[in-house]
Amino acid sequence: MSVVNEWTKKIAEAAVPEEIDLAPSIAHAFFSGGKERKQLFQREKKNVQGAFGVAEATLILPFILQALVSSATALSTFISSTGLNSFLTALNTTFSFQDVGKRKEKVASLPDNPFLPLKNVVLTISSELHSMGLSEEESDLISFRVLMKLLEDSAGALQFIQKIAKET
Amino acid sequence: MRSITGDGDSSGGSVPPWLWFWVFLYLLSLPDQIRFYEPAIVDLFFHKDWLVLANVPELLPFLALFIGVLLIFFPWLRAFYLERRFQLAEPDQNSSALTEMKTFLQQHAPEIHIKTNMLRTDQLAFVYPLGYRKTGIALFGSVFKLWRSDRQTAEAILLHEVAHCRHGDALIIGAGSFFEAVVRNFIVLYLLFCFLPLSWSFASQSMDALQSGIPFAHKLQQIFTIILPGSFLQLLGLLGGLAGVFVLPIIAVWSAEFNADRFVINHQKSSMDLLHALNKISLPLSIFSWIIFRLTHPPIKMRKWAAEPRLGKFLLVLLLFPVAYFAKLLALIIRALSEYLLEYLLICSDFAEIFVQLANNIKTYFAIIAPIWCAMAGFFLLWPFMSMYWEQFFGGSRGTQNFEIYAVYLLSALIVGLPALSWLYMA
Repeated sequence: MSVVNEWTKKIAEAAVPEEIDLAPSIAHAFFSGGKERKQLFQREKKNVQGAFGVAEATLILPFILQALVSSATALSTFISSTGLNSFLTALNTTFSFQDVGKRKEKVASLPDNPFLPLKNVVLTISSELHSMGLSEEESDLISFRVLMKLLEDSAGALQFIQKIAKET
Repeated sequence: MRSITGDGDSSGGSVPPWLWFWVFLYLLSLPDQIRFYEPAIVDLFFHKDWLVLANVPELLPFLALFIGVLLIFFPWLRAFYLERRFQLAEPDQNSSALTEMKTFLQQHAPEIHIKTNMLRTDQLAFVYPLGYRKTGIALFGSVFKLWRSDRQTAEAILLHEVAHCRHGDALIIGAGSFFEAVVRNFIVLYLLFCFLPLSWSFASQSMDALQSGIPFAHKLQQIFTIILPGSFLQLLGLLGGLAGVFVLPIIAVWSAEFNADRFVINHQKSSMDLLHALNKISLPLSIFSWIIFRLTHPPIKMRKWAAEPRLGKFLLVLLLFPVAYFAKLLALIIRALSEYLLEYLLICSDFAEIFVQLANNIKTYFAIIAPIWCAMAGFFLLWPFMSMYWEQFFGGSRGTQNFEIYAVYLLSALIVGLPALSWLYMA
């Protein structure tokens, strides 16, 4: 569990820094499953006496973890690929564009050899996040930040991905 | 005019604790209320005719309020229920945001106890009683997130909760805990306990009548001229009764909310962060959920309106609770009119008599509320002197006495006191 906790915190720090304090609780609840995991996605619009009001906020970190679990195969292939340095360069170049459309064009224009694992993983994580209700722009940026973080320590990231794939 | 500063927060005036005032009046009026509802309760349990089930929707608002007030005396039960429902636990001490929030809270409410559920974001924060003199605050994931992304707004939310604690609201705000359950199910309960037994009784009477040769057309006519309009009037009367019972505690809760918002503005010297915080509140999805939300909080637009630092608006907020007595009167008029019209429909009573009775009842109502309004006028005059000690008693640290806006309290006392004296004189 320490690998999972450590990486959840790292991912939160990179992608959703405002959720960093919640990372240990989210990791614990997400990988415990059952009621605790359900609570992460629960939205009960009920007012309580003495409350400030029903909140509009949503936690993003559980969605990221969910997207990572769903993309575990693509991620394992990606991290195990050779030429991680070229992926890192490609990611940096792609995400230097502000416009989401231009970024997509740039990713699509990358040759399949050796960039197919990168193209697949960006598309998979981004679509997973988008399907969970995040905007296209936000999904894209989060995918980039998460992948950059994973590439910083590919050996540790591979261990993390294997662990979460096993635990869920 | 002078300003006495204590060791707590700066103050630009606060709303008197109308919720406490209302609870006190409710407890005083309880013997009369029990006497009033006693026949209906006795009928329900000892009368053999199952048509007495029609008493249930009428009794429910009274019972909901009675149980809610009764539970004030057992604050541990509310704590147990809320901690279970929201899965509140002792906080994770490793969180730096928690440490910062704890320090912030202790500056304003030194004795407040924090519990958290970091996984839920559908709530921000709320206060609840842990005992008669001990208040808990529940902090949710959304407020931790906000603390990192927009500190000032998060502080506004915490200050709002601190205000509830310092004002002593946490202990008694649960009096309205059962309002939502009653309002949410009221129509279903009406259909089940009133409309269904009445329809069943009418159907069985009709069967007997048809067997004895009374034409079907006559019975059909009765459905459209008596049963359906009568049922509508009965429902209208019950809704009037429901509003009549709930309106005062609801407006007293609203006053507590406005006061908590005002505390934020006074402390932060600006309404900007409070307005940001109000924008974080989720909007109701339907008219019905809008009504349900109003049982615990005033409309967001109204809170934003009241957040503007103008004395005229503060005066209106101060007078909100006294004005609620007119809303109660309106609800009671609806109830009485529907009952009179029902009587007129069934036994063709004198129509003019209805208005004479109504006028007499309104006169009696004003005679009854006149001493209450006099007490409110007195409370307005005393509150600026009392508020500092009141906050110290509940919040642990002393607030501020601000006499710069004493004129607003004086004006409120006159607005409430003068009509009350005239009603007393007329009575």
